[in-house]
Formats: sequence, structure tokens, C-alpha cells
Amino acid sequence: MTRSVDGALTDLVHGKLSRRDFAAHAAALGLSVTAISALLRSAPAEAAASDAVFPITGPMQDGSGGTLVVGQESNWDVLDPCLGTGAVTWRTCLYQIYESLVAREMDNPSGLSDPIVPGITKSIDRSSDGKTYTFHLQDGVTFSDGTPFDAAAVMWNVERQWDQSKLGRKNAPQFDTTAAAVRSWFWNPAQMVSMTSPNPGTVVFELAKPFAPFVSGMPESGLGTMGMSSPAVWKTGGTAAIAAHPIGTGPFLFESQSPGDQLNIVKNPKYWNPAGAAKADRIIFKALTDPSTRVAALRGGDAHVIFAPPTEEIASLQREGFIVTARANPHLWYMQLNAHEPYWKDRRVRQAFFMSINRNAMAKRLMRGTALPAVSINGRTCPSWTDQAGYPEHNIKAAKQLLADAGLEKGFETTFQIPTGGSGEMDPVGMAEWIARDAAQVGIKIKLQTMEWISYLHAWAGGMTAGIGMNQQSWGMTSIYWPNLPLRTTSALNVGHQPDTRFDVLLDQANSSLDDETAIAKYRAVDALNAQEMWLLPIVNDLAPVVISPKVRNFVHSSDWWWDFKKVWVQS
Amino acid sequence: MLAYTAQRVLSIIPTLIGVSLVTFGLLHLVPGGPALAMLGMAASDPKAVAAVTKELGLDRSLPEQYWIWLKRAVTGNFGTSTEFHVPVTALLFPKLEHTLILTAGSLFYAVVLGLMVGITTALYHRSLYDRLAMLLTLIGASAPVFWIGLLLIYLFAIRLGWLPALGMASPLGPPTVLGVLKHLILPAFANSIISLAVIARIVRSGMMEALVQPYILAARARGLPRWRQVVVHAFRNVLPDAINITGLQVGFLFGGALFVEVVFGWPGLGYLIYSSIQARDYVTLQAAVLIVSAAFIFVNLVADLARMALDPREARS
Repeated sequence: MTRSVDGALTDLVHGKLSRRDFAAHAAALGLSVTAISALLRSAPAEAAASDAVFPITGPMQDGSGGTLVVGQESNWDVLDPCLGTGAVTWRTCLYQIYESLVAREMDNPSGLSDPIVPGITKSIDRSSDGKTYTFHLQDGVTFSDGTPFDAAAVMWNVERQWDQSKLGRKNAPQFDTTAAAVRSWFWNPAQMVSMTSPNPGTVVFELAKPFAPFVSGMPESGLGTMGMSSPAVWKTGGTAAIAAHPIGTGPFLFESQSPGDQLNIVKNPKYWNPAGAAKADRIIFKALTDPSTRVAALRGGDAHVIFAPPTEEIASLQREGFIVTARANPHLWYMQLNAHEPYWKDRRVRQAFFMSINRNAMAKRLMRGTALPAVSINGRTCPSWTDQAGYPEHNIKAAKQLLADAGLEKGFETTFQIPTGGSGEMDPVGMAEWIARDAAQVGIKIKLQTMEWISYLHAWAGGMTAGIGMNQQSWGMTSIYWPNLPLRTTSALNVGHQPDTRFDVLLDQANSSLDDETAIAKYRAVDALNAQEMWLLPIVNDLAPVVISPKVRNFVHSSDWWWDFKKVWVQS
Repeated sequence: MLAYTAQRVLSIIPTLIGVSLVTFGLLHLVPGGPALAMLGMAASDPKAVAAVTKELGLDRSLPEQYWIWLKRAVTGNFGTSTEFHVPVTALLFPKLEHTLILTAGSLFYAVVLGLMVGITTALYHRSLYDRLAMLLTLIGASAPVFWIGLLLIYLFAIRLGWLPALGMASPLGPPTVLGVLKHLILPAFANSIISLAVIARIVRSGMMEALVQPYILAARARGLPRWRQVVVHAFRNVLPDAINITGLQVGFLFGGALFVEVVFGWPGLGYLIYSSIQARDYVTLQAAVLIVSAAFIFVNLVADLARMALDPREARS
């Protein structure tokens, strides 16, 4: 049966038809290649970066109003920008209430990454020696309690998490040990030595040495690094008051919450930027931890948007008229090998193992197109991402040859430590079983050791012990900084104990670069070195599918971990 | 009776201390802790973990931690949730109220339907109705609650659209009594099925035994109406056992709420316990387990006392 071009185009936009199938239909209707290409380009919702079957937007239409109900896969935790660490806490809830000193554009329907754009900071200057950053603040911004957002407020927020005792100074009264610990990955390497304010609209940060990821790293890891909360709230009751009465500068205001059940936020009528004001009247976040419950909520009309849908339900939800969106983002599902295990000491063995894994088939079949095979250790939205790093393709014959060359033609046994679930973990057990099955083809016998998420985090954070051959994690950043965490030999996140100091040299050169191009080139060199050495194995990038009701308007799938709902509204 | 009641009430205290000790011990045996849950990826920094552990007071010895917790708990101060940073009492009691509503709804189904099925199957035993009812109760008692819950959602909320799929009230408006009752139907029924089956089977068995006793024959010989033979004479003798098993089932329904609350998005204590385990929120978990245990013990006490009041032989012994 042949459908009309319009129908096929609609199906393409709504994710019911792949680009390839669309092209086949269009060709069957007698359209020229040029016309087909033009039509494909005119489909703005298609995820060009992923070439997947899912669009990146729902229906786009001017308008406003309605209550958006969002079904989340886990609880939010503390409603405090410095302390909220849960992925969903920042990803959706707090991002609407608080704003970061550094903003990213994550909801551009045609953009492939999320550039830094003006927000509550108008512009940023970097000194020629790369050690001084001057932030010029937006005029006329106020917190939702009416107090001004100015340089004093910025400094007050930074001092909550900046541990000045390391510099021999007394910490500020609002300094919070947990906040400093949570953000230590940023503030420790940034080595900030002073913060001054020449006027209420300007904040100057002085670093001990150049640190190229200083600006791009600020909005990472939950935006909490620089999410601005009102100092006036803290004065009323300390840290507990911030979580109880979240006050930010964002497009939505906190209304009420029943912890672990429902969080209500409403449109901020006095948002400082009228052009960016919220379209929906209210957003309700519901914690629906069971995947089937989320789907039932969507089908029953009790939720308009659900995160982390079960992949096996996606096709049927699409047939029922729901819209499934997906998009490349900084996510990376990766493995680290334990350098202390003797069999991994030979690079050829590490390469052979990587080549045994059919990542393409895993992404297409196991993940049903909701993931892409990873070709870089950098996130797909990171400026240093490249598909030219040189990671070898799946090749069983070549893998067997490498093992034979290394004297391990009979293979060996190893243990793979994995969580049963967790933040961004996709289907860790299913994926590990897939990897074990692939590796068995070249003689590598993998025993799986599974653990619940927090127990796993405990084992993972301690570094791999003897007998554990490999483990797994999901992370990634849009900031170029991320490879410092798992690959620097001195990093606590080098959980596989990789010993190659050439990574450190390249990372130091990247971080001290005085221009972005050099920094990006150096981070790509780190990626290329890893593609040869194979201490960190990039497996897949999650496209993070989301299912939305057809009533939702202007929903754009985020190109980062965090979501901006201010343009979204719901048709009654 | 009074001495027995006093003895039972006093025995609650050591039982609760025992429960809290076991919970406390078990929690600290599980790898990981609140510091790890709070820090996420930053947990790989041992200094960060040590700083947060110290701030939470988890660097103290276990007996010291337990003693501090116990001293606060007896004054009604259960501390602050490490997951949500709100006082545990503010978190716990609204959830407890929701779980009690769910438990009461489940108990209603379990008792009313359980008694109806138990009595009628005994009256018509070996009939097609009896066999069918027993088969259904067997399936009900064997099937996982979450699976039954999902089937109910699929049938009544999605296919037929008669009842809401989840939550305690519609998120799109203020909660109403009618709305809560409507939302209660499916989760309460799903939660009740196993207890319903247990009560039905025990009542059936007791009734079958009672219905062939000489006093029923005597009642029949005296020309008493059938309903009077069944309800006043036979069922009265089954009632102590029915109350006993119902008392035990209340605790089971309370515990079963954990599964049902997750499936139906019911914002209760079970769901809170589930999320507290995931977040290693020891403070909330300790208090929640204590409350559930206290409720369980209290209900069993009430059931025991009711049984004694109804059965003079028990009271005498």
C-alpha cells in the first residue's frame, strides 16, 4: 500500500517512519532524489545527529496555558541547588525554578548541541593568560522573593560550596560541607583563589592557573555547581529553609510538594525575561518509579510526558498516537578494565575484547534503536566529540587473531561488576549479558556480578579490587572536561587504575589551553590515545526516549541531561 | 482479662526495641550509605565521602548512633530525612494516613468478600460454584500482587476507562472524598486478593466443620430458619478464627501495600520505605519500620482481645 507524501512526511516527523523508509516511499511515488532530500531537510523534528526513527520534537504551535503532568522514573531529592544530586531532581524539577550562572540552549529543534547562551549572565570575558574570568550579570534580575540577583548573591552562592579552608581562609557562614563535597570534582581542579566584585553587576573569578573548562563545567552535574538561590531564604532558617522554600530566578515558582509523590510548580509572572516566560500555567512532577505504571499513567491520561519508557512498549505507544522523542545527548555507557588483572596488561587483549562486542547490534536490537553505538569517549553534544577517534569495529576474526598473538588463543575468565539499575544505566544486566555472549565468541568467559545501585556505587567508588576484571558506568558531559575524571591516573574515578601517564600530559595541556580550538584538539587526542590503549571502552550513547501525549505543544527533546520546559504548553 | 491486656501492652515495648535494633543492624550491614547516595558520582572522592559521613554523624560507633536515635525517638523526634531534608515526622505521618486508607479499603474487600465467599462455598460445597470460587482464590493467593495490579489497570483503567490508573487523587485538581474513593477501588482490591483468598478458605473450612455439628442439627430440628442456623450458630463458632486470621491479615495488607503503592503510584508508607532503602535514608527507614511494626503489633493485640471477648473458653484459659 502506498501512502501520500504528506502522510509519509507526517509519519517521519512523528517517528513512525525512518528516514530510509520515508525515502523508499517517496521514491515509490516517483519523487526525484533532489525532492526527497529537500523533504528530509524540511522535517525539523528528525534527529539528524542520531539518524534514528524518533523525532526530537512534538507538535509545535504558538499558544500557552494548561497543566503539564510529568511522570518521572524516580524521586527528586533535596530542592536545594547545592545539594540536590539526584538526576531527576535537577533534570526536570529544579531546572525550572533555579537558573545557572552559565546557561545552555538545550531546546533548539534544529541544533545538534547546546551552546552556552546569555542567561542571568550577559557575557563572560577571559583574560589573555586564561586565569581571570569576568562575569557581567544581566540587569534587572530578581529572585522570586523580590530580592535582587546581583554580584553579592552570586558570591554568596559560590561561597556555599567553595571550600576556602584549603587556601588557609575561614569559610563563609553559609558554607556547606556536603555541597562542597558534591561539587568537589569541579572546584578542586578549578583551583579558584579569589572572587571579587568591582560593582553589583560584575563578578571576577581568579584561578591559580588556566583552566579551559571553567565556564563549560559550571552548569554540569546538575547545574548545582552554579544554580543561584536567594540568600534571603537561608537567613530565615539556614540550609533547611532553602529546601523547604526553593527560591530562584527561574521561569517557574515552587508551589508545593509531597516528597516522593508530587511536586507542583507554577508560572513565574514576574520572570525577568518576558521573552522567555513560561507558557504552561503549572507543571506537576509525579514520581512513578515502576515503568509499567508510567505507561499506564500516560495511557490513562494521568500524565502528559513520561521519561524512561520501557523500550518494548515504544512501538505500541507510537501506534496508539503517542509521540516518542529521542535525541543524542552527553550520555555515555562505558566500561573500565582493571589494569591490575594480568590478562589486561597486553593492549592486544584489551583491543580484542572491545572488538568482540557488537555495539551496533546491541543498540539496534537490544536497545531497539533508543541508543547509538559509541564512537568516542566524549559525549555526542560535547565540542570534542568526533567519530574519527579510531575505535575499531566489531570483528570476531581479528579479535581472535589479536588474542592468539597475545598468547591467549584459548581465552580466559574474568568478572564483570554491574549494577541492576541506576541513574542513566539503561538495561545494565541485559547489556552485560549481551557483552558476555559476544566475548564468549572469542573465548573470553565473563562472569557477571550484579549489585543494587547504591551497593554498586560503594564498590565502584572504591576502585576495582583483585578478581574483578571490569565494571561499568554511565556519565558524560557537554563540557570538554569529562575525560579528566575516568582517565587521569591520579583521579579517584580512574576505577580501573589505568597507569598510562600520557593521558595526564595531554589532559594538562588541554586544560591549560588558552583557546578553545587547542583545548578541543587536545581532548580529541586523549580520545585517540584511548582508542589505541583501550582502558575505557565506550559502548553506547543513550538517546533517552521520552513519550509525550499529542496534547503537548512545543516539546523539544533536550540535547543535554537537563530539560527546559518553559516553552511547553498543553492543549486543553 | 485485664492482667492479660496489661501484660500484652507492656510486651510491645521490648518488641519495638527489638525490631528497631534488628532494623538498625541490618541497615548498617548493607554496603553503601547515605553519604554515597547523596554524593552520587562524587562518591569516588574519599575525602568528600568522609566529610559527609562526619556531618551526618555516621562516623560514630554503632551503639552510640543507636543510642542517639533512641533518645530522640522516645521524645517523638525521628530526625531529618537525608534524602529530602525535611523532618521525618512531616514526611511520615501524611504517608501513614494514606497507607491506612489503602489498608482499610483492602481490609473491607478482604473481610466482606472473604466472608461471603467462605460462607457460600461452605453452604454449596462440591458445587460448580464452590469449585470455581476455590480455583479463583487459589489463583488469587498464588499470583504476585504487582502482576494482578497491572492487569487491573490494563482492564479497568486503560481498556474500559472506568477507573483511574494511578495516584490517590487526580493531579489536575483539588482532592475530593469521591475522587479518593474512586482511586482506591483498584489498588485496594489488588492488595486484598491474597487476604481475601486466605479468609475465604479458612471460613469455608470452619463453616463446613460447624455445619455438621450436632448443635446445627438441633437448631434445624427446632425449626430455626436457615439463615439463623448459618449466621447465629455456625458462623459464630467460626468467628474467633476469622478474627484471628483477619488480625494477621491486617499486618499482611499493611506490608503488601509496598508493592501496590509502587504499581498504583499510591503515595503511602510502603512506597516511602522502598525509596528510603534505595536512598539509604536510614533516618526515615528506621522510623517507618518502627511505625509499621507498632501498627502490626497493635492490630494483633486488638484481634487477640476481640477473640477472647468472643470466645469465653479462651478468656477462661
